[in-house]
Amino acid sequence: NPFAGLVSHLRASWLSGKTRPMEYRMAQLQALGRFLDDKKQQILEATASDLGKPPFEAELSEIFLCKNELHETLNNLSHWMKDKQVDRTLATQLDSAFIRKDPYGVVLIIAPWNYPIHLFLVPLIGAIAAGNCVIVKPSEVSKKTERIVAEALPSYLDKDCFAVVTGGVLETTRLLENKFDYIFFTGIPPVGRIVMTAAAKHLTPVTLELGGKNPCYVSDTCDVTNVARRVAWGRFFNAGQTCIAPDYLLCTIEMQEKLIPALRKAIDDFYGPNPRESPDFGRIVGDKQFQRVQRLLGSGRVAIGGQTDEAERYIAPTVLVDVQPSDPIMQEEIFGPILPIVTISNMDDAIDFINSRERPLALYAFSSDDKVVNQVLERTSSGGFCGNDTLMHLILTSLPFGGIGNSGLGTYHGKFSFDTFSHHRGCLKRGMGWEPLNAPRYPPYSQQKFGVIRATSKVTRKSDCTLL
Amino acid sequence: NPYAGLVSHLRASWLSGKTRPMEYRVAQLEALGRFLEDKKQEILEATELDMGKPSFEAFFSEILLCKNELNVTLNNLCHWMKDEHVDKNLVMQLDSAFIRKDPYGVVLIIAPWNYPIHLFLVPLIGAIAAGNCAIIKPSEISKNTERLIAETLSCYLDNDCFAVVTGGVPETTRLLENKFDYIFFTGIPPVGRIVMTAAAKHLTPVTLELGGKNPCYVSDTCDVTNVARRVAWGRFFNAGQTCIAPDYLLCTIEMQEKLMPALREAITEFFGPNPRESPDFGRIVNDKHFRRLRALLGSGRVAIGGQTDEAERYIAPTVLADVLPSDPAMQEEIFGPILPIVVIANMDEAIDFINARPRPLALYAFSCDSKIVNQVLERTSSGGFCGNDTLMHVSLTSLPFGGIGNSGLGKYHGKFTFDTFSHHRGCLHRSMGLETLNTPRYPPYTQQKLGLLTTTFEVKRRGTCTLL
Repeated sequence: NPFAGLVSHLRASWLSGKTRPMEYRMAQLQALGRFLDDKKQQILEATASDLGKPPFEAELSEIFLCKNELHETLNNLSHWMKDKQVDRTLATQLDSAFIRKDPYGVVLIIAPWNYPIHLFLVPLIGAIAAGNCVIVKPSEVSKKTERIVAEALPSYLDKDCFAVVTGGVLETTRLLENKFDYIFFTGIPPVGRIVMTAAAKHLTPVTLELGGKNPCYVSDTCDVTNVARRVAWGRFFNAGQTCIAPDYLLCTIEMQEKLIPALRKAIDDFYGPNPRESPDFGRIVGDKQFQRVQRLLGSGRVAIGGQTDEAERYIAPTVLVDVQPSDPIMQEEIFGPILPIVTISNMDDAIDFINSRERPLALYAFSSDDKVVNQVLERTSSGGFCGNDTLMHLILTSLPFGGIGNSGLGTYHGKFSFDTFSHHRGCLKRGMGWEPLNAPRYPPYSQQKFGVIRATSKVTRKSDCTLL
Repeated sequence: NPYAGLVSHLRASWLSGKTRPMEYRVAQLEALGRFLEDKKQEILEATELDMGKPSFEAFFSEILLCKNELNVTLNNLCHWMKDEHVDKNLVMQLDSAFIRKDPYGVVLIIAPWNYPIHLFLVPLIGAIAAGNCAIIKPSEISKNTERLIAETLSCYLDNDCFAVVTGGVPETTRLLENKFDYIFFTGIPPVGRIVMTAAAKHLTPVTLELGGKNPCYVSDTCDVTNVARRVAWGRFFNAGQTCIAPDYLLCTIEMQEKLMPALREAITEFFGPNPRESPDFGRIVNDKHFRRLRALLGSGRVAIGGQTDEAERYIAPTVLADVLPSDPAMQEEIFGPILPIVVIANMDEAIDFINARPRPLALYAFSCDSKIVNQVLERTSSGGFCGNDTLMHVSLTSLPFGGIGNSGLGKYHGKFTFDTFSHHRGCLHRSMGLETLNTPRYPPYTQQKLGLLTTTFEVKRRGTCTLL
């Protein structure tokens, strides 16, 4: 077990109580902030090299959104850490009842390649804030970024409590043999199963941020221009390699006719007549992924784009029409810059289509009619939801972010990250005296004693409260 | 797969939306209340047959505590169900951002034998409140209660949405092959691992309420009489078959000397000179557990009790002194009316002893000095904690109840049960218009656009906040 020494070193540090004081956690979090500032240029260059990530996008997702999470946490940590006093019964009025936020201990964070800084750093913020020690396992697929994380991050954080482990499937498998106190995994569902199975051996709680096909329903009553821009933006950001990107569109054939020219215009506005020359459009991360995505172009009919260049791992912003549910592109998460349109007759059809498939991480519905948006929300199930836009629900640190069913379990962002990585310990502190108060509960049992118990601990039914 | 039809029937009911309206859920919950009222006598009789549970205890744990949970839920359900609106940033001021509480779908609740009504019914309350369908698998060990549940519960609940499945290990294994949307398991850690491994195949989220050895530290400064009564009560309630019972005592040799007569006095006060004749002391649930417990009597030295009767499955309220960490009584969760005392030199040793072992479901510390109670709380990790008493922290529906590490994952009681069984879906509903607000995010990317985005979405670092 090559990682046993490392894990036990971190566990000893945690048991020493080093990570408990707020000052310690703040110092580590502030160091993370300095890492983002100092290494910004290198991060932009590494992600540009790894997946052609435009610097604008990288600065937004890898630096700016991370700093927001950092500031949100630093601003609120003392409140989040405080014991939370709770309501007491009559029998416990003189006692102290509260929820204590305890760290879990040694946490493992496994991150993917598509937002390679963000997707380890945002969970790490929560893990540190909650007082844990952490092993970070960045993705080996985004090689240059992995090197920055492995070489630079340790110099910012306390090496007794935080470590970076690099490697591929083999190393991750060996790492997972160890007992962790929490495992946070972002990646694809099949690997999520492997991680949860490994965690089960040690009864380790997990958060799994997975994926799936995020449906995007467009009703007949909408502003076609705006819809096309918002959907195109969400689909083609990071060349489509986003877990919450709109994966496929559902609309009527009439709406498809209107959307195509609007999508063509939006793509042209964004990337110019030849997106390959635009500095603002990314590339596919590796050859294997490029080949996988390229094969999907055979589904339906190419209405916009479709060009590819293997040497650059370039796939043009593409829209496919006449796509059948049985086509290859509808069998897997696309994770590339291809938007298939599947036509349906009406909203009910669209809802049935969505509900007969795995529950997605994100679900989108566009309509000028609020009732339509609300119906789609009400009658479907997904990790998160956004009406009349794509991706944007992720920006708010006040919204929990996570999947359901095949798209994952657990939530994070903002306070939800802190709550994910802390154990909420129910605590009651009573007085050593006041023993007569306890007398009714002791044997020998009697009806009279039971009456007292019932009177002092009963919760009565209040009159009906109406759903406002 | 003998249960496939049942599971798919329940799933179809859930997809039909039947369980969504508040009125439906309230009606099912009120029916549960009538079940408790109508079957009160049968429940007392069944649990007495199953494990000699005294009626007072059964009334308290199986009826009163359950009704409390029911009433807390009925009193608050409409509030809990409401969309929870969240803070928005500058750009989203005109949007609607909220957390929607969605059901998971079809839930499986597996309950143990020691509090056989309470430990399926309290989770079921939360599952129903959150809008799920549920399959209940009561324990086959508490045979009379199992029969009662299987034969009568279905008359109270909607059979399209709720079902009871009976059986032993083979049936539970077959049941676990099915895909559930949530699994709630109460039982022992080895089976918890099996359940989580089965859940991992379907990426099903789980709550595992497990167990372990709950330490009870008694400092040298305490009221010995009160401590003895409170510890004896917690240990011998339900003949020790309680997941949060104080499992073993840690104290100095001087305190052991003082505690012994006090414990003897408490036991006599509770159960009389011959507890076998007391109507207020339970029995061991079956022969296997009886023999398991009888074997533990060889650890250390019997200071109080020690008598057994195989025909009645009676084990006297027993205290063992001079118990060594290597003794059999210290190798497994006792789950019987035996209290071993392990002698330590001081509080630091007690804390080290506790921290060298798997994290327990409950942890108890007795001291007149609140600083000592606080230190034990601060320097250890456990599911829940109670200072200067035993068991009482679970009587508050406002405190989360659950384990950590080997003692489990997840929590429930009160609103925490509703939250356990609902998916917190982050939702953003934007306007179809106001497209100019979105322009800074679209390519072609410029520094000016980035500046605009960061200004409008930035979370600023506020001045340092002090930990009060």
